Amino acid sequence: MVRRIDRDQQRFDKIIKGKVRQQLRKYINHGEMIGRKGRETVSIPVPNIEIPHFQHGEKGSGGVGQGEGEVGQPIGRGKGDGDGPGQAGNERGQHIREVELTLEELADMLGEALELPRIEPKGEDALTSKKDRYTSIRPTGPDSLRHFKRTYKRALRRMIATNNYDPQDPFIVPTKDDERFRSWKTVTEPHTNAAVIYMMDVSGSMTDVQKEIVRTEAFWIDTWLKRQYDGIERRYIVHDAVAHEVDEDTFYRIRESGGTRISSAYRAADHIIKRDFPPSLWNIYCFQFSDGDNWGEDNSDCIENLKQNLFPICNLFCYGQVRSPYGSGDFIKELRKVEEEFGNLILSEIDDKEAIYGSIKTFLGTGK
Amino acid sequence: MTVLNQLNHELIQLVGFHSASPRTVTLAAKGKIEVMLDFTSVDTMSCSFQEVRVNVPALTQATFDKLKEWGQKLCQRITYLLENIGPLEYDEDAAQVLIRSTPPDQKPDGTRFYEVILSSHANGNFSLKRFESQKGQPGRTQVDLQVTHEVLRKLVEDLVNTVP
Repeated sequence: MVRRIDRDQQRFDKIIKGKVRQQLRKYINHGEMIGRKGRETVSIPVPNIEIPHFQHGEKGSGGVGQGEGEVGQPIGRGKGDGDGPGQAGNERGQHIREVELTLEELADMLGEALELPRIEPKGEDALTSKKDRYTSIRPTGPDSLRHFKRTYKRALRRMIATNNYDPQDPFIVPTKDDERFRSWKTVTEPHTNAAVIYMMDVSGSMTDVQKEIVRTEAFWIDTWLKRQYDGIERRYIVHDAVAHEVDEDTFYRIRESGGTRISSAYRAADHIIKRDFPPSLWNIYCFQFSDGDNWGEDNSDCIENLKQNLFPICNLFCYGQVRSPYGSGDFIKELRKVEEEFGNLILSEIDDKEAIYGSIKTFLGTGK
Repeated sequence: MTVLNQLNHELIQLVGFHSASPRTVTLAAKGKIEVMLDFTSVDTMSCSFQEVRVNVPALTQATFDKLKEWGQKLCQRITYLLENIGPLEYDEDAAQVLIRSTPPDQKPDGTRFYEVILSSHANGNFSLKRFESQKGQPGRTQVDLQVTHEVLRKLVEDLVNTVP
């Protein structure tokens, strides 16, 4: 039976989630929740919800109730008119409440808001993983796994069978033989996995603002893909004139002052895929972000590399061109020339934070 | 004849010139340094040009440190254009230094900035251009640099004097 407080809590959660849903675009564009990301949940600041409540008046200021007096006689005379000490404030009160949402809930909200189709994984569920399932019972085991109900039932049955059970005094004492414990079996499950490779240009022309945009967009892409696949492996590549594989933290914080050779990132991505993710077993996603200011002669190398190595094996190859203080470079124009030829190439121009929402929809709206 | 005298002479000759296809003027300085200007328009007080290039044979295959030193000197000396310039990218493999306006001129409809590329490929090379980028459109368009004769003289003088 559901307790009333649980029902109220569920209703309150529903209201809070409704608030988050309403303002999801703001949260997506401004990345407010990313700094509050925990292991499986995200804390989100939402405006406080005013709940009506009773308040005691001042002592002796009167009130409504039964007591002396005639019908129609005015009650609760107020104090005289006049201003109190000090001035009224002119700012709105700030009430912020933090609510916790799971990443799955966030992903569902994102999918709903952007009308994202479910992803259809390519190929068979070729990978397997081992999981422990508590499906059986055995007479020995640790106390933490003791099955209370079964233990009680066995003890009750034994006491009834041995005429030791008194319904007037239903006292059950289990013995060691009565004890039963939960036990697990290790099962292998086939499932689909995805490898996500993020590439970012960290040359001198990419400032912290551009990197923040990339970080926000990558967070949402991650959240959505995690919801769609059982297992996700991520790899991060940064490049200026040379590419390096780095960890997630370095990916978002590093800044270099070298030139820009995008082809170096493609070579690194190809190397990682060949090393770790056989394309027949993995759904491969590449997300690349740059201001598009590539050294001119490198463009043809990039296109060649993409055609030969990455386009044929990727579910999606997404390129986001982030506008830097020096504008948006020419690289996206080169990719537009081959866009029609390769259906898995998705291009997006991200002028500022406000464009993140549309860009995510462009990248993930294909359902691939 | 000094490089400034040559420039003065060319500017006088070109007064009244205006064309979409630029006219290239080459000035010779000591140390076989060549300064090339692609003029598109010249009047008695000012001029516009597409690009300034400087060839420095002495810097052929120069070390990357020498190129960096040149870039730093240029950024310190050239402070009289519409925006200050500063080094943005050092590409040691390509032996190139990219210098741009810092910060660029940001307008609501787009951005304008100077771009200098120094390289030591064939010769030591300097190239100065100006670009414009429209908001919402990828890519950038080269636009003319417009300066008074006085500023141009100072620019050419600084370019020659900062060569390491």
